[in-house]
Amino acid sequence: MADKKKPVVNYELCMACGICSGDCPLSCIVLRKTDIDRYQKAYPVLDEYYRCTGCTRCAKACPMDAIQMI
Amino acid sequence: MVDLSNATFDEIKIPDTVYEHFLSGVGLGAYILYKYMPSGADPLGPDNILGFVSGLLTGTGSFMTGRWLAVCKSPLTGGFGDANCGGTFSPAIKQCGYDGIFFKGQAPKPMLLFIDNNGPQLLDASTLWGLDTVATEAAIKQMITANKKLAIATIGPAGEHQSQIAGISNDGGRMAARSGVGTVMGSKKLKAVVLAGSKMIRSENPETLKAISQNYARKIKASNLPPMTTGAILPMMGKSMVATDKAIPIDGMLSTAIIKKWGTGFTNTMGMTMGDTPVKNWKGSITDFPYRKYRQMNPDLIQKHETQKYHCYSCIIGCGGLCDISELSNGRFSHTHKPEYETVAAFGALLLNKDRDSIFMINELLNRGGMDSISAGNTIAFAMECYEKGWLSQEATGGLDLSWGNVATIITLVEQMIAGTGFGAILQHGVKKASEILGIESAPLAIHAGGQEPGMHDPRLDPILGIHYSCDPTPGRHTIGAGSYYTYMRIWEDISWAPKVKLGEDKNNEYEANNQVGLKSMINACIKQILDGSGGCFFALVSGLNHFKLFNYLNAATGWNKTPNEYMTIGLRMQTLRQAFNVREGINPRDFKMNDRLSGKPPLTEGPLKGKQFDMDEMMSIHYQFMGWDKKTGIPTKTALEDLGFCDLEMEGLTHG
Amino acid sequence: MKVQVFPPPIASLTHLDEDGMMILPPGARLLTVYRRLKIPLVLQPLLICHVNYQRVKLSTPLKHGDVISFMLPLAGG
Repeated sequence: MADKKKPVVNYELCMACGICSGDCPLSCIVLRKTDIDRYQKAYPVLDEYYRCTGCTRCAKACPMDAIQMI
Repeated sequence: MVDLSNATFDEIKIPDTVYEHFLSGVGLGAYILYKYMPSGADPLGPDNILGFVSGLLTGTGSFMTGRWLAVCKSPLTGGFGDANCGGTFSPAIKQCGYDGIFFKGQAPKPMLLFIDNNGPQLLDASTLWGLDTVATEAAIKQMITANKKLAIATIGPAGEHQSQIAGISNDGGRMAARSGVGTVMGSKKLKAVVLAGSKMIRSENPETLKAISQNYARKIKASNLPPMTTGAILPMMGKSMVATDKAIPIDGMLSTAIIKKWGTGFTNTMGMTMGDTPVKNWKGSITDFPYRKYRQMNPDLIQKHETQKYHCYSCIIGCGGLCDISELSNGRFSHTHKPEYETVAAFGALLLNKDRDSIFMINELLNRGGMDSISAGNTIAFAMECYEKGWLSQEATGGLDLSWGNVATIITLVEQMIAGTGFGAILQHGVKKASEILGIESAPLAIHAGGQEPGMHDPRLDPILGIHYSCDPTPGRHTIGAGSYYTYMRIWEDISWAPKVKLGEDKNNEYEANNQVGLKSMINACIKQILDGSGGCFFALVSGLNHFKLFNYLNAATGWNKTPNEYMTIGLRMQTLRQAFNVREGINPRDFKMNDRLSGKPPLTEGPLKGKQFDMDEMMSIHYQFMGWDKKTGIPTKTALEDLGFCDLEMEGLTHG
Repeated sequence: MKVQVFPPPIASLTHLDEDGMMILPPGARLLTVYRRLKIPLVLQPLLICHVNYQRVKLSTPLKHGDVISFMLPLAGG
């Protein structure tokens, strides 16, 4: 599994809308990173690295194209 | 469609024409209710249908479209009922492969519905019955394991006890509270709906949707308040807004900056100086709740407890928040959702309560109990005024001292109302039922519109708001529209016949029942239906349609090629269907007229709204006229029904006018 | 050239037409708009002013069709 490509969030573009975490079929992405902006908004983090299958659904769903599979 | 009586499931395929006529969301809900519910059904009986509907745009890659609605026949008004809520539940409905989940019948014992990719199943929920909403969610997460994080909608004890102002909660206390939807869910013995589907949501032009979203996001991202801005400026802003009678159209986008910072809480203090916030059961003014009291509600002070923002699926503004209240509740609760403005006003100024900490407590109690905070606050305010007038003795209240602003009593009453015990048993069904129990002379003090308590915005400041309180098929809603919302929408850039709000225009025109008011209120009502049909958020709408391209979003998601005018016809059709449902259920639309106190009869003698009044009957007539409904009765006319194309849809009763 | 202005409530509206448009000489800067709206510069840090939804400096030159918006809150909740 470790050789599969995993999502990486670009926080410059990310708007913390939560579409990626809502669309992830295994709920691997969780909104909990709060130190990005001064509003304490919760930004997405890939919480369960080993459960992620690299299905790319989050990357496709992101309206801002802020998720890359690396 | 789930039949709870026989525990059977039935998949209804909705023809495409229905989506083209009514969109999804509230339109789909109204269509199903009209078609499948027998006329005259008992709201709390097995014939009533309770639906959870998602929006047409939800999950398509559009922003600000993660709202779901609960629809049913309302026990409060006896007509159409819907309640709107955000969170993660809306996309979950669609990820299960449905646009809506509908329930009929009544279960013999408490049940919960679980849907995952393998289909629906009804599970026994006897062990969950009696738990509060937060505990229920925790227990369900223990009970059911799924790959995906569960999206749970549940009722609390208030819904189980059939309190008629109960709501449905999701995400640990986000409430779809209005119209008594939780009561209907409780009457069906349905404790929870649990969703864990992970199907793909398809849209026609994902690239176009992304492009619209990115353009909108760029503007939102740039809208920020300077870091040193504090809540102290808000009362000043409120004052400056009522200082002039001239209309100044503003750019809604910059006001999103305020919502980003404070959420809805910014109105806590601003509404006081503007006169927007009702005081002392709608009869007081800022002199009853002066600066030294309302400054306690400064959103900065509320924000101090906030640990992180909370926002719905696909939201880029983020108005909610999670607050740590373990200290001020002495360890009873750990967290609460940040109290919304409506809660702060309903349990603050309306009851002359200046204790901020108590509002956090009440907020969490109501969230856990599953009760509508607007209705609960209004009902307690009504009881307090009766007590002040001497119509309620201390024996009648069970020893409670109901004087204005008595914090201990308010908290006790809220607990009693949720549990349905003591004096709370009288108040737990809302203000209309309470005044019926307490006697006829208390009716003028019972502030409601057709049984539904109005939101915490004063129509005396914005008469068009009063039209929607009184004329909407779901009365008493502050989110349908208002003169100020109309200004922020800037809809005239899309629709040529919409009246433009001109710079320097006299705001007092809105206090008269003229054509412009009728047209504005009609546009408000239609656009709100389109928004509810697409699952959109109201704050996106008031950020301006010139930024939030709702019509372009809809075209891109569906592959239709409709003009804004055609969408307005759809909105009008949805609103007319809801009104027709009410008429079919034997409601006289004129009965929904709000309490006279709200239209300034008698007018206030102090504060920013001093002397403001308007003729509500005339206002209702002009609204009916522009909606194409009968001017006198508010019943949709035959020609209007024909023009809207109801003849093509096989819906009995509608084709005959 | 013409720019669209969303003024704050304290502003003077004499230079705006009823659609909120202001006609400016070529080469005008944001400061010109402040002067014409008669907004005291002491209040400038309190107001948020965006040009085409981006924060800019007072000395920014404007061009035809720009949208200048000042912060003003809305009711809601």
